[in-house]
Amino acid sequence: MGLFWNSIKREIGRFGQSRILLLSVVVIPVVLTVLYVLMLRQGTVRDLPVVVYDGDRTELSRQLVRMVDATPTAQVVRHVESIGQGRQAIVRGRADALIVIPPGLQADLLGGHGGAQVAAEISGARILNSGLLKRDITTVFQAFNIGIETQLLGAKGIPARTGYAMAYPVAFEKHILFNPYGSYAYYLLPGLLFLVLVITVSVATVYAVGSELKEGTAGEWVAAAGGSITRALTAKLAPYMLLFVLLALFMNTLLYRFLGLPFHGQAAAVLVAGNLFVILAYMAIGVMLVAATANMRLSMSIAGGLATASLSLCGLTFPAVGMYTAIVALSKLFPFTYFIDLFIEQSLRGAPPARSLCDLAAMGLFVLAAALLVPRLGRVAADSKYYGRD
Amino acid sequence: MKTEWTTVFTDSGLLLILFGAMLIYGTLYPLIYAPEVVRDLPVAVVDLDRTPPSRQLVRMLDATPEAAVRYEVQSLEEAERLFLDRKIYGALYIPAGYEKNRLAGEQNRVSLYADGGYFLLYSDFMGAVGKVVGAAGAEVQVGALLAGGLSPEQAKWTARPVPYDVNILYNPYGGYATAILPAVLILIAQQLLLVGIGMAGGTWYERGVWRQFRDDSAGRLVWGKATAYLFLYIPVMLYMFGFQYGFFHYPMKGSQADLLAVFLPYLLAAIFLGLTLGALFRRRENSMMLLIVSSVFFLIVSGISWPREGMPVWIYALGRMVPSSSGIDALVRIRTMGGTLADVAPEVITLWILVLVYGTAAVLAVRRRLRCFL
Repeated sequence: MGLFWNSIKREIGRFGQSRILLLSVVVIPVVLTVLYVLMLRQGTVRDLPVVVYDGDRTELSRQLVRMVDATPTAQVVRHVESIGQGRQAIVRGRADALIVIPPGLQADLLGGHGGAQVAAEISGARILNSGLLKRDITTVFQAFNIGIETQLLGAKGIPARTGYAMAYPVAFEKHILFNPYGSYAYYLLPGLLFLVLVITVSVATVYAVGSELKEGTAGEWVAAAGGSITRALTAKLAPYMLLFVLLALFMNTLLYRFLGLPFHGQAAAVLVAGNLFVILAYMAIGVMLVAATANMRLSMSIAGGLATASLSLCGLTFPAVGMYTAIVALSKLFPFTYFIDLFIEQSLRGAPPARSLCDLAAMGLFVLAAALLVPRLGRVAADSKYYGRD
Repeated sequence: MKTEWTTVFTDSGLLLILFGAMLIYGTLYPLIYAPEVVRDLPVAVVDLDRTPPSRQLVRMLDATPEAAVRYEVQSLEEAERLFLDRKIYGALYIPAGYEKNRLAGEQNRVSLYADGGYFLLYSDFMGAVGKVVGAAGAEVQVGALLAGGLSPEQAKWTARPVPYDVNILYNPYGGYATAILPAVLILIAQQLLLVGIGMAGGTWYERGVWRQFRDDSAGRLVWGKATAYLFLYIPVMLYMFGFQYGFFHYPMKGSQADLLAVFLPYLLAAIFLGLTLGALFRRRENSMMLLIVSSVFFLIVSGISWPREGMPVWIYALGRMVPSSSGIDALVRIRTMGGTLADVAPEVITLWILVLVYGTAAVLAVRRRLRCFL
C-alpha cells in the first residue's frame, strides 16, 4: 500500500504543477456543462420568425395570419410586399418561413368557388426549425379549412356540431412516448454533457500516461510503484477517476435535480454503473492508444477524434435505424453508443435493469482489452528509446 | 512564412491534423448521415375495428415512404412491448367502431404513438399519419357531401375550400445531412486550424524556435505566418466545397467569387485566433487538450442544429465571437440557399471585425512571446 500511496501522491504532485491539466480537466468541462445547461434549459423552441405576404388583406386572410402567429413555434415578424421580398428575408436569415396568401382569397370563397391557394415556403437549411414549422403550419392550414367548411355547411343549415364532424371526419391524437414534455433537450442535453465527459476523460488519460513518455520520466514513474506497471497505472489513474466521477456527478445533479430529467428506471444503480463504465472505457481507450503508439501527441489526436465522433455515431442525432449497416457496425466500436443506449433505456424508457447488462458488458470489454495491453505499456515505459517522441 | 511552411511540412503531427484529419472527418461525418432521411420506419398498427375502411387506412400508411407497417397487434400493451424492444418507432391505434362512426357521419378519433427520443423520426411519422388521415377524411367528406346533393365539383371544393401547399426550400431530400453537414465541414476547418496552429505555436516554444525571430517585428511575423496558413487552407476549402459537396450531393448554389469573399475573412479570423492561442501555449499538446472539447459547443452555439430562438440571447451573442458562428451562417446561406454577398453582409462585417480583433491580439501575443526570448 505504501508504494501505491506514494505513486498516487506523485501523480497529485504532477497534476498540481500543470495549469493545463487543471484547465482541461476541471475548468473547461465545468464551464461547458453550465453553458450547455443554460443553453438548452428551455428545452423547446418557440417563436421562430415567419414573414407573411398577404395579397388579400381581408378579415379572412388576417385570421389566417393570426392563427399562424398563435402557434407555439411560429411568430409572424413582418409583412412583406412581395413573394420575392419574403424569400429574400429567408436568405438574409431574418425568417425561417414565408406564408403566401394570394389576392382574392376571401372573394373567391364568398363567390362560392375555390381557387385561391395558400402556401408556405419553409427554409430547410435548419432541420429542427423546418420540422417544427412544417408541423405547425400544416396544422394551421388544416384547421383553417375545417373552420371555413364548418361555416359553409352552417350556411346550408347544418348545425355546427354535425358540420364540424363532417369537416373533420378523422381526427388524430398525438402521444409522444418516453419524452414527457415533448422536449428534444431531454435527449440532446445529456448527449452533449456526457460527450464533454468522455472527451475530457480521453484527453486527460492520454496526457497523464503519455506525458511520462514525452518527458522521459516513465522509468521513474514505474520505479516509484515498485516496478509494477499495473500498480503504477492504477495509482496514476485513480485520482483522475475521482475527478471524472465528480464531474459526472455534477452533470447528473444538474440533469436530474436542476432540470428535472425523469428517471423511470427501477434501479438507479444501473445508471451509476453506466457512468462509471463509460469513464473506465474511455480511460481504457486512452491507455491502449498510448501503449500501442508510444506517442502522446498521436494518441491524443486519435483519442480526441474518437471521443468527438462518438456523439454522431451514438444515434442521438441521426437514428441508428436509418444509418448504413457498416456505420452501425462501426458505432459498436464506441463505448458511448452503449452508454447512451443504457441511459435512454434506464432513465427515459424505464426498461428493466437486465436489459442494460449487455451495454455494461460491452463497455467492460474495453477495459479488458486495455488490460491485455498493459504489459506492452510496461515495456514501452521501461525503454528509453520511446522517450521524448511527439 | 517559409519557416512556417517548413514547420508544417516537416511535422507529421501537424500534417495529420491540418490535412489528414480534414480528409478523415470530411468523409466520415457525411457517411454517418449519408442516408439523409429514414425511409420505411418500422411501425405497428392496433386495428380494433378490422373493417374494410380501417384496413384501407393501414394500407395507406404502409404505402407512405416514411412508414412501413411491420406489426399488426391486438392491444396497446403489445405495441408498448414492441416499442420497448425497439422493434417499432411508431404506432397507429384505430378504435373499434371506426366504420360505424364513418357511416353515421360521426367524427372518428385515431391515435398516434411515437417515440419521442428521435425528433426526426417522430416528425416524419407524424407527417405520414397526417397525410393518410387527411386523405381518408377527404374521401369521407366528399362522399357525405355528394350524398347531400352537391355536385362533385362543389363537394370537392367544400371539402377543402382553401387548398394549401407546404414546401421545404433549399433541402431537396428534407435531409439531416444537407442541413447539418455543410456547417460541420465549415466548423471542422476552423477547429483543425486552431488546433494545428496552436500546436505549431506550442512546439515553437518547446523547441525554442521563437528565439530565431526575436529581432523581427511581431507584426511581420504574424502576417507571414497567417499568409502561410491561408495559402495552405484555401485549396482545402475549395476541395471541401467542391469535391466533398459534389460527392455527397449537397446543394451547390451561390457564386465562387462570393464564397471566396467569405472564405477570406473566415479563414483569416480563425488563423489569427489560432496564432493568438499558439503564442500562449508552451507545449505541443496544449491546443488539443483545450480545443478538442470545444468543437461541438461551437457547432451548437452557431444556431444551426439547435435554433438560436431556443437559447438565451447572451450565449448566442457570445458565440458570435467565434469565427465559425458567422462563417457557418454566411457560407450556408450562400452555398445552400443561393444568397449573394449582399445577403450575408452583417456576417461578413462581423468576420472582418474578428479579423481585426484577433489580428491585433495575435500581434500582441507574439510580441509578448518574443520578449520571453530576448
